[in-house]
Amino acid sequence: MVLKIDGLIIEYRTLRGPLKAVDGVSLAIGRGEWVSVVGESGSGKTTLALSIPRLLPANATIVGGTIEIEGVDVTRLGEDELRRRVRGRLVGVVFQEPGATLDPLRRVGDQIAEALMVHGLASTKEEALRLAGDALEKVGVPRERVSSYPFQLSGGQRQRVAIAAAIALEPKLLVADEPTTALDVVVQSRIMDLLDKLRDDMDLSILLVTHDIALAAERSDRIAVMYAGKLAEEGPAGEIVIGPLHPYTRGLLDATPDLWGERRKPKPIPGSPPDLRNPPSGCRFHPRCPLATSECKEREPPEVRESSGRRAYCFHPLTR
Amino acid sequence: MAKQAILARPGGLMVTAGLSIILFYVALAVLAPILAPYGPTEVSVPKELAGRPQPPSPEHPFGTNELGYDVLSRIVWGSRVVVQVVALSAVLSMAVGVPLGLVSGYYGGPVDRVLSLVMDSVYAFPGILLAIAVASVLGPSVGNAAISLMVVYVPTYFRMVRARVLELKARPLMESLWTAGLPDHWIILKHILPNVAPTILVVFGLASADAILTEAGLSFFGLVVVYPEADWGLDLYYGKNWLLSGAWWLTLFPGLAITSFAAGFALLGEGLARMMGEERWS
Amino acid sequence: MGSLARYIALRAALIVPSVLILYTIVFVVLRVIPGDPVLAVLGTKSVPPEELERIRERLGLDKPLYQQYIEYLMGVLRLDFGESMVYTGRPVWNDIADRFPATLELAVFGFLASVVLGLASGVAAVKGRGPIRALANFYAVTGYTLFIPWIGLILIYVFAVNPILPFRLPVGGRISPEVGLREVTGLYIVDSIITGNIPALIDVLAHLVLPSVTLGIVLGSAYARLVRSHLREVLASEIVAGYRARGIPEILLLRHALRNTMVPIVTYMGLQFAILLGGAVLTETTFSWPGLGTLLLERIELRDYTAIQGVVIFFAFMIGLVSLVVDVIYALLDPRIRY
Repeated sequence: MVLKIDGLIIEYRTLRGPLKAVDGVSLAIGRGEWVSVVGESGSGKTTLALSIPRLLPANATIVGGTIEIEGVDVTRLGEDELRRRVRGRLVGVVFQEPGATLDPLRRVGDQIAEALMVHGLASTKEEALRLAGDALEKVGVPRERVSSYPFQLSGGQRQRVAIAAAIALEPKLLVADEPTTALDVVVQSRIMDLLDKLRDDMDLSILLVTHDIALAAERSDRIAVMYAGKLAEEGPAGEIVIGPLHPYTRGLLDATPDLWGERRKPKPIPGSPPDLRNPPSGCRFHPRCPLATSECKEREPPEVRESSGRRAYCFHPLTR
Repeated sequence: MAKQAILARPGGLMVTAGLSIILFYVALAVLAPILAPYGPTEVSVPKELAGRPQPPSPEHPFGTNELGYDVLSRIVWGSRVVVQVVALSAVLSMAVGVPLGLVSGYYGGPVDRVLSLVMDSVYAFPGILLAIAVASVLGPSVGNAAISLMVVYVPTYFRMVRARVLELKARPLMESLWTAGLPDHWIILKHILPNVAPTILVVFGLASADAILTEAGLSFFGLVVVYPEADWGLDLYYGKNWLLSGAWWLTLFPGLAITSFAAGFALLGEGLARMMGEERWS
Repeated sequence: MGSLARYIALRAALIVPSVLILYTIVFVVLRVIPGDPVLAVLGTKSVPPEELERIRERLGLDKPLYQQYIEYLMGVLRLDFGESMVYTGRPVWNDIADRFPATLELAVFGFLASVVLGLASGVAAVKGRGPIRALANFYAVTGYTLFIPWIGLILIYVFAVNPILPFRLPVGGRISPEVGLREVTGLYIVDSIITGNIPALIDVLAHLVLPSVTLGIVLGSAYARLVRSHLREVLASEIVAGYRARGIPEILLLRHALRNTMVPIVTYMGLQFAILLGGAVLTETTFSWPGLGTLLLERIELRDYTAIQGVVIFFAFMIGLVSLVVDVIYALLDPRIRY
């Protein structure tokens, strides 16, 4: 296993009291595997993803659980070790607007070379720039672009360069936090093709955060569905999409207009996600769930496991 | 919107502190005859002590100068000059800058462009130099000092008001007011001015803080009142001759008055700006 | 380089109207408002009318205003600022040329002090801890309300009258009278270096400390404010998030963040230079610094209008020139600006 998250609990201190954005989530990703975390905004999916390289804002604390990357528990590491061993090195990150992460005042090659040098992967500037050029070629940008400034690149090239910067140190895991939300479908699919290619070329594991379950189904090996800080359901992508166990997953699928290109009328889930400062009792989805019973209100839902490795947390799992 | 205690709002503490300081000095100016222990040019020490500045003592908490004048009393009396000049110049600058900014911003066109260019040019010139140039021609008096300051601060009001008007003009509400065929003066007075008012208040705070320092600079150059009349900047100028012989009280206290009064306005302006959710205005 | 030259020419063309407007305002204030300046200066003395007429003629004040306006402007372009009204036959330019190096030297060092202080306290206001952070924040908000002569006099007391250091810092003038220095450029730092005069260099630097720090303290707060707000913005931006995710050390990260912060701040330096010159006038009078500020004060006392006009207009041209230089620096600093 490249990544093994176990019982992770993350709390934010806010002006109106603490909130648990991630509450007891366990998840594992194997070498070369692509796992997508799906959920509405506020489900805790981004918090979960950014906790892996420990890039959460200062008001967030990991209050429980472990995050192991290649056997190293990053929840126990100090800032300095995180910087030297984890960020960029074990885990690369692609942010929501990848192009915006490039420093407008520096040549893109210098930015990538800098990371190679501070991590000791290159001893001279020339070597670092050569490796930076290699990284650019991996993402399909001509290596001469090392000496370009970000403003001299097209939007699409900027995204690719940002991805190149994230994989330049040859990390084991790439965390991508909704990298294509703002983009049109064609560009989105090109970026996804690129991630797929990098996975094959570099034996890279990918954790993609997205609200788009159709995209997740199309691209990933497994899907983890999050709702209000908890895992609702997790398993092989195909199985989940064909026969979801959790009513929330069903709801997400029904709310998607074009699953596998088939156009249909989307049916939104009624209600809205709960305030995590004061979450509902029992199963957090019960106020919006069509199948909810009094049991759901009172107790935490049990884990339902299937032989294929699927699991769901529900009193009334759907059957195929 | 829920009514909140002023202190609890962002910038509330700054506004409260600023207003307290301002009110303190205004009260000092108004009540000077009652509050000041001595007259501004009253020889308040025994004859044998005159001729040299005397350090602070129970009778003279801020000490006396070489003429035997009580420094504390001169600060109290001097507040009258500063408060008058700054208040008068604020009224004058607003009276000119605000209407020009409203009209120029609202109508736009070549007049607006020329006016903006003129105002920007003046704004870019150091205020103290401009004030010195004007005041040196007009001669030292409270009214002339206020006019000199007006020349400096009209562009500040003009620029801020104009910028705000341009923002307001871009709002969809404006479209409907124009289609409703309301007369321009009505729109400016009833719809734009009320929305510009908070901006004017912020500018008033920040420009007045600066105006106090410019007034002190003019006074330091002898361009507001003539010694021995009491004015903080002038006292500082004459006090500096005695600093090398150790008489620190002749400069410390007048300077403290200038800076704290200016800081009062700065806190007011800055606090108001934060209340309105603006980080920077200058 | 050709395109850079074109860029400079374009910026210069934009600055010309500004300078002309200021020239016009100063001309109106100093030539038109006083009515007859000669009468204003000499009217109180019993000077025979034909003598007044002779002075008017000599100063060109007998010509129509528009002609004076144009002739004076043409003169300024040839560095001819007219003649002093008080010292007969003495060109105003001589005094300006004589005093300007002192003001320039003070302005440059005051500028350096303000940038260093402003950057340091701006960073401290964002990254500092406890009382240092609080102090830096307070300075950033209210530092500009410190009255320059007051701060100068406090420094004089602390470092010269009752020194807390084992030695006294000089508090007046640019150089000690017993130190000899051959003047070449009038900039004493430069002169002492090119003549290899080390004792003079030390003496001149010592004289610069208190006036520059005075200016630096008061003007640095504006930078502190700007650095504080822009640095906060940059540190919260995707750019820094990207650096952090690549495992770049905090110190390098801060350096890159500061460079991004500097872009808007350099723009501000143009405006700040004007305030710097205003501040220098007050600083000079506090430290008996023989620059344009003290020249101005002397001539105000003598009501020498042509000299006052010359100095003020000279400042206007200087400010225009500096804003041009700042534009060019800005273009060189930010690769996004294509010139």
